[in-house]
Amino acid sequence: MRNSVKPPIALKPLFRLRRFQIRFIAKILLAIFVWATPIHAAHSFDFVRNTYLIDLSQGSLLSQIMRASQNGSFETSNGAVVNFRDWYSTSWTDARFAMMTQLEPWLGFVWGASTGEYGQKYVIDPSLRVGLVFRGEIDKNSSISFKATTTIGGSLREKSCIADYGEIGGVQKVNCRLAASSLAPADTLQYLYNMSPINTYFFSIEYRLLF
Amino acid sequence: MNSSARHAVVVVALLLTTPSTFAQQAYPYQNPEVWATWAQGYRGQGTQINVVDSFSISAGCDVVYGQCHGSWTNTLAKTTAPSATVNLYQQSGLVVGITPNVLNIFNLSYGLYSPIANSAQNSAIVGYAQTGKAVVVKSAGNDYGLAVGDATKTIGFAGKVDVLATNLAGQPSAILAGALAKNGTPSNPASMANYSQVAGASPVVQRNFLVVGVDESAGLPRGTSFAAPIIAGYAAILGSKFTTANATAVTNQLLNTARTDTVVGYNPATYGRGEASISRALAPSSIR
Repeated sequence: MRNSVKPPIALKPLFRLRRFQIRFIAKILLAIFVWATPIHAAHSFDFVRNTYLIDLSQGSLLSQIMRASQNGSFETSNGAVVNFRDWYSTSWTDARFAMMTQLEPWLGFVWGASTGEYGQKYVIDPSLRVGLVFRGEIDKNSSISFKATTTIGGSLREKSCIADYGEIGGVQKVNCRLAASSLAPADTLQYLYNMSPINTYFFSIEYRLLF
Repeated sequence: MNSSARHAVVVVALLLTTPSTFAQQAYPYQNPEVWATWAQGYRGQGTQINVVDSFSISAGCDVVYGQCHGSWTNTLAKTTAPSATVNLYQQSGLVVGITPNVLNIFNLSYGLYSPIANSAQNSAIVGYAQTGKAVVVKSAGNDYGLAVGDATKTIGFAGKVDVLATNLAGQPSAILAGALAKNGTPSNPASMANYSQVAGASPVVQRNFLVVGVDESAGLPRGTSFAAPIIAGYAAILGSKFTTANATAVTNQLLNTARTDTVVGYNPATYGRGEASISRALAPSSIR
């Protein structure tokens, strides 16, 4: 069991994009490019003044899943207690932020990132979040807005353990949490967590009425 | 209670194969460790428990609490490992063969007080324990105060030795099953049941001797007969996890992982290897 905790470095998974994610991001970037023509540039767009913090948080559903896994334990065949705490704890909980840059009164570009999280037996990849917000006035007192974002990366991947079952089962790769269960060691591997973030694709429609 | 030998008169073997769909249900007499092993759905599947016993009242079975002795041992094997295939063979019948490609387990909840060579059935089973072809679990006997291998005080056989026990002692895939009065825990350890024979001074017997709780207060009859099928069920659960393990490896795992901290005043002459622990038997010795 290792005691050290590595920093959350996992850049490679960021490039594991699905084809429709690539298309979506390309369209957003194209929209920004079209918008950022010299005509618009002539307006002397102030990026900083038009950018707002819309989300700042720490922790996620995936983090909570791994927190819950800390509570398990089992005894080895010779009676030594194996606690899951060291395997599923972290020195840094996944943190995220999201900003919105207002490109036009009716259009905003959402962008953000998360740090990811690292424990001895799991990784939550860092992530990027991009999207667009469209807003339209219905009348003086009401408006409607559409928001669509996608998160790239941010997946949870649980690592396996190496267990020694001695004469009866030899040395095998297993799911750490299920090593002492009645499941066959190889069958435990299908229960390793391998999950995408819950908000990979996010759409919302908001109607606002002032009265 | 252990039944006496009737091997000389019965010539027809009775084979009943019970389906592997015996209801999974927790019983108060079971060690809670067993319930935990069921949680992921592995309950002895892919293994075969051969219960050799007496099953028919008309054939003169020993009746225990209104049921044939074999009904109890069958029930205990099936309730411990509900997904194992349990075959019932009439005691003193024909030779029971080994089924290839599955873990074979024999449950023998009886003693034998005539030369083993006279019984083809028992000779074959001892051979399986000798060659590691099957896990053979045998009850230790109910002569309280005696050790395995001592001459019995049982009426009708007094002065004779249970040769089935002495022939199984020291075999690589044999287990001799003694009874505790209840399931033990470190905070509430169990004593030997006040009918169970003990391992005794012989290191050969001690090596193969395990105990489990046979809890009368939870509705079980008295007798080491009912310790054996619980251990046979444990072997089946182990066999369903370690599907390529042979009978000797399964036997050794149960023997090597027995607990000595859940019994009162552990010593090998009484408890042999200790109380069988299915949770420890399923666990790795180390993990990283």
